[in-house]
Amino acid sequence: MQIKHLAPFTLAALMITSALAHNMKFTVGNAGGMKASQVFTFDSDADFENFTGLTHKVTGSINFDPKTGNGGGRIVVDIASIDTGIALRNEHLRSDMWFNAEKFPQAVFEATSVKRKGGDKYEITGKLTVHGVTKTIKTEAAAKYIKENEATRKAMFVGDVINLKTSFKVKLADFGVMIPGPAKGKVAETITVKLNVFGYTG
Amino acid sequence: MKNLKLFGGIAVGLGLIGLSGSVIVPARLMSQTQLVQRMIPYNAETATLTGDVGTPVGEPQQMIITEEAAFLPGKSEFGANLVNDNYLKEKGIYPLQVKTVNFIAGPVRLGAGIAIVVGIGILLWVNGPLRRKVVGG
Repeated sequence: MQIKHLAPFTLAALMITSALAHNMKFTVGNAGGMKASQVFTFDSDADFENFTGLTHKVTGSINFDPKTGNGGGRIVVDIASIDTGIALRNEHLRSDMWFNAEKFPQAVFEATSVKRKGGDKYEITGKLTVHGVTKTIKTEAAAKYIKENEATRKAMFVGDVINLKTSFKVKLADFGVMIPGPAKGKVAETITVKLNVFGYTG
Repeated sequence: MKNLKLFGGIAVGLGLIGLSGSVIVPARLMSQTQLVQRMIPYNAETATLTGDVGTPVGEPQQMIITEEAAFLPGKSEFGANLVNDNYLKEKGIYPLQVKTVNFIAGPVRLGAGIAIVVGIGILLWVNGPLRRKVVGG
């Protein structure tokens, strides 16, 4: 009798396990000798000039089911390594006047919902944490899944590969980052964040 | 009065230099500008794998880049010339942007124009009928 009652639960558990088994885990980082580099940028389009902050120090993991398009993940960006092309500006950016890299060394994006929009296009909702402030954001992304083959091996990837690209706007004040007076007109109040990362299953 | 005359002359002179500089320098720089898309190029293996050239850095922009070696073959989808961002970083090149030239040239022109008007006003005051009218009257 007890076994009879448990049967549906066992079946459900098996189905869930089976569904989870399709979710592949991709590691994002520069390990494994892979030749492609992770790229995180933010673009500032101000009156005086445009500039880009850039770092290759992007790590994390992506869970992704190539068949259903379901997934999630966590991407971590090292704030202190962001380079804007001018050493003094980098110092200002890391300082407590701006991103306070000592206190908040990482920017983190955690995907909470992924919806396939068609083809390689996805709608991702997640929590972005910058400067100790967390906000929910929604963005569009392109995710290209490449099963392990000769080309992935030549590019020094280990296992299957996923290439994730996304771009979204961030209003600095929303994350408690205020532009100091002397920098007004030189730094945009809203920056465009872009991510182009590769993950591999290993 | 002599000092005032000298001040007026200097103001006009500096104004003319500033005005001509703010017209000639940007005009010369503009002749070297081109629409550019900075790019972190993929290595050959990754380019083959993804079918892309690399990762664009920033948006297409009018810039002044004279180093031929900085350019990559091909153009972006917007017709911008591709520039190797890694090369710029390695060489410590920070390209001049057209918007920066315009941002600086505008106030310089305005300041030079004001200096010329003020200088001419002073010279007219010192030498001209205006002073004779006021002082004489």
